[in-house]
Amino acid sequence: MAYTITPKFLQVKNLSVFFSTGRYFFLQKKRYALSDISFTLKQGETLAICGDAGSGKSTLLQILNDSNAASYEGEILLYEKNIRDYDRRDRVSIIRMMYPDPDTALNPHIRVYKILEMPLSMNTGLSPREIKKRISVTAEYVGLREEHLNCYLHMLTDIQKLRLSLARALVLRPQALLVDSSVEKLDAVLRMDFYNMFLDLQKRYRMSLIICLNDLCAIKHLADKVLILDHGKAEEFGRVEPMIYSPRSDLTRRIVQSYNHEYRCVHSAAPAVARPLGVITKNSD
Amino acid sequence: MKYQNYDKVLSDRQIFWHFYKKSTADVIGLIVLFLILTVIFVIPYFVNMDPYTQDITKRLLPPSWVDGGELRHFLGTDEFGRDFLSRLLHGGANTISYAFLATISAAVAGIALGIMTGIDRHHVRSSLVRHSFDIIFAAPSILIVFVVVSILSPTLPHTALAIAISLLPRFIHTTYNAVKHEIVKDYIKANNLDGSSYLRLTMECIVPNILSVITINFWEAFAVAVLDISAIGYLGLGAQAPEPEWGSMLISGMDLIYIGNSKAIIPGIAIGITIAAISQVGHGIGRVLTMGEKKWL
Amino acid sequence: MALIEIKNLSISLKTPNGLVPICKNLDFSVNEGEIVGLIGTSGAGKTLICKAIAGIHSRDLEISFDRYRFDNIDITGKDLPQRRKFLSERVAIMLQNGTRSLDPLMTIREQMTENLPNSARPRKLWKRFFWKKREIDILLHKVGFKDTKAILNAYPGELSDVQCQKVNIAMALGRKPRLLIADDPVSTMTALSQLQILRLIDSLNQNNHVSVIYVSNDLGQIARLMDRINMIYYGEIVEQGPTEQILKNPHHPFTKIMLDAIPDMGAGSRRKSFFKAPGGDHPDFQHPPVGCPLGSRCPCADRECNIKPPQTRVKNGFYCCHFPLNT
Repeated sequence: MAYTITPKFLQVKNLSVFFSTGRYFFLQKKRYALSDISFTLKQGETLAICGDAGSGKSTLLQILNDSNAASYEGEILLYEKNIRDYDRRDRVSIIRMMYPDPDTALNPHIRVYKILEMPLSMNTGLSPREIKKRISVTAEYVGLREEHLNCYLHMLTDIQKLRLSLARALVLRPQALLVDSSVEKLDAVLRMDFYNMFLDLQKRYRMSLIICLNDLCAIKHLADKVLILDHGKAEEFGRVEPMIYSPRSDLTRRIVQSYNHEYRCVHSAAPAVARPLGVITKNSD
Repeated sequence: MKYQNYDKVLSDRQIFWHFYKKSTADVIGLIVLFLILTVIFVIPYFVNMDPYTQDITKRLLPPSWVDGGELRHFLGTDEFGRDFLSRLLHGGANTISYAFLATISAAVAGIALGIMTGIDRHHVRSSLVRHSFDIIFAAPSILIVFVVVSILSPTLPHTALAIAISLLPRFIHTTYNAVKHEIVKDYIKANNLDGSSYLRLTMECIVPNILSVITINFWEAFAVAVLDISAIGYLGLGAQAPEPEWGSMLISGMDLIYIGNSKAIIPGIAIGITIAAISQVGHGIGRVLTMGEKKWL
Repeated sequence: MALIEIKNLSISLKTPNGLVPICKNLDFSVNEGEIVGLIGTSGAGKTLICKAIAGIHSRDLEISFDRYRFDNIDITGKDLPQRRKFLSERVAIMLQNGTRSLDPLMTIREQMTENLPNSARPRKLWKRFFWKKREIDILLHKVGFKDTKAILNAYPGELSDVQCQKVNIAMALGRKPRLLIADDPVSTMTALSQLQILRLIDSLNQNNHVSVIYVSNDLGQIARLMDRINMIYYGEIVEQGPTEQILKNPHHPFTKIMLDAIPDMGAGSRRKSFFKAPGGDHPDFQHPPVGCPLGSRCPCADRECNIKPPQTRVKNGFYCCHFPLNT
């Protein structure tokens, strides 16, 4: 499947997501989870979605992934073609989501190898040898070892389950990866590991990521564009640097200013080394 | 970093047995059940046992350990001269296999209905389907058997059918609840988006994860079914003469209780021990399967 | 003046395979009016240590210590229920998810009235009418709520997480504790909300003279809040010292790893530069590694680190490593 490289990879125009909560005579009462969101992404650009809990970040990701049952108005265009017109197989190899909850995101009855093999066997036409190779490469990239491929889910820790759900998303080599806010809640060292992986994906595979981030330094390092949501409405959308150094709206200014609070310690790190190719990570479990 | 040893990955069966054998009562129940099933189903293949031949000259012989008993008829004979041991074994085969048949058919139908109503998005339709079977909950199993047996003739398969009907709603309800818990999880959505058909989703994702609920339910229903079949046989609606069945042997033994009380005691003991063994095994399985994954280290 | 002194604390977990030791021979102390930090990656045992200090650990754990002095009162000899009763009057706890630490079926008003200690009841008769109502209002004003009526009538599910944490602090204030154990209260919140809660904890510490044990897994966000920091890895305190020394002059490689995990926001850093992070996960407590638990993730590991575990040394600070930095 050849795609013409158009500058506009993902375009969202006036998206409003609503849940219908009953009828009032002839009008359908709607509750808007998101109202009037528009943004554009080029191929390889990363979007960071900021906002408090309840502002509609997860809903936006689920609508892009088509896993939410809510109805929406507005257009979502992928390579200038409506996302609904895509065949499911093609769309799934372009956009994939990393599911946030480690307990419910994976089938606990089957082994890890089978979890990673199912999307491949259903969506691509690769031979079993190629499938095996791709699974082992992806698992190694993400940080799981060979012993883990034969395990069941209850033998893995929570963090390994998160890595596994990232591997399941990456196994089809998508062009856009949707990440919900599960990575932010990890502790600092693990978070850096995940951010390194995301950076490597951006640089080596030119993957666009759409992440829910609230941390300003992560946004600065990872993202090209920022979308700030406030109770379902888009506060601001633009490139990262202008937004951080000259914020326009009040909410953005407060977010930027609250970063440098009096308790934070800012430490200038030494120049870091990129994740080596053909990944030999120093894994312990 | 060196580790001392990496735990080998135990299969599910080994883990299950490791936790099951921690309770001696459950192991005893399993052994007793195994013995009963072996004796009832395996021995008649090797020894020729005839529960139907009547020999009037040898009526009402007591068991062989009492005076007057013969070794050839190990547990004596009933009032028509038929060998009691072979009647017991064949009757046990009848009782247990028809109870099993009833439970299995109720389970298959109930689980299928439960899964179908669980996957259904239309709330009213699924509620209608589920709750229309609740009428069966209201009637005791004996009443349902009366109804079925009066429409069809009173034989053992028809009794089994009636008991299957009475066991149906509990399977539907418990399966529906378990499916409702599973269906909101992310991996179902993920697999659906990846392209599995509904059949594949059901067989690979939903059914294996509700298997514990189904198994626990099945064993409880099995014990109830054995009790019900014996009770119906006691009332005379089940197996008709000359077919042996524990319940009907019990009622004919009740008439002879002053003459030869072993004919009433032995089927009663058999029914009691079987049901106790089945429910103990079911209890043990329930305990192991609901232990939770965190303790499976 | 030490508020808490625990010597030789050891925690083990009871599993079907036997006792799994998690912490061995920990020495922990908190001085009065101090904020002490417990920093480590997830799963290192910080929450277990806090719960063991407060006495609210689960029954699966076996806890033993040589000496436990609280405010110069020796409670080593007391068994668990007596210790819990003693500590419940003096220790307050804040848990990670604020909404989940409140009873979801009671309004805030009912919960706060339930939590007021009887010792706060006024002596004078004319002050005794409606004292609970006034006390709750005062507490909520202290944490910064202006519209107390709306908060009091609400259920915990209706409030946001920041508001729930503030209610938790208000409830803790009402009991007038000597020690507050804050188990990672702000990590799931946005930066604006975090600031409010941290300022509240700071004001608690300054104005009400409450010592705080603050548990966190991110060094950069709250380092300046604390007076002393303990770094915990694999159930042991690997480094301990005043904040300035730890930030400027770390001795243990794990501290260096945590410091490197603070990304650089300065204008000098290149955008899209890689972070410095060691790969791999925390070792399992069931399979204790031979040698130092940090092992091959350590940036300055050597052969000796894999053979024997390091000893604790006290020289220019308290750390435990074979090849310490900056000495």
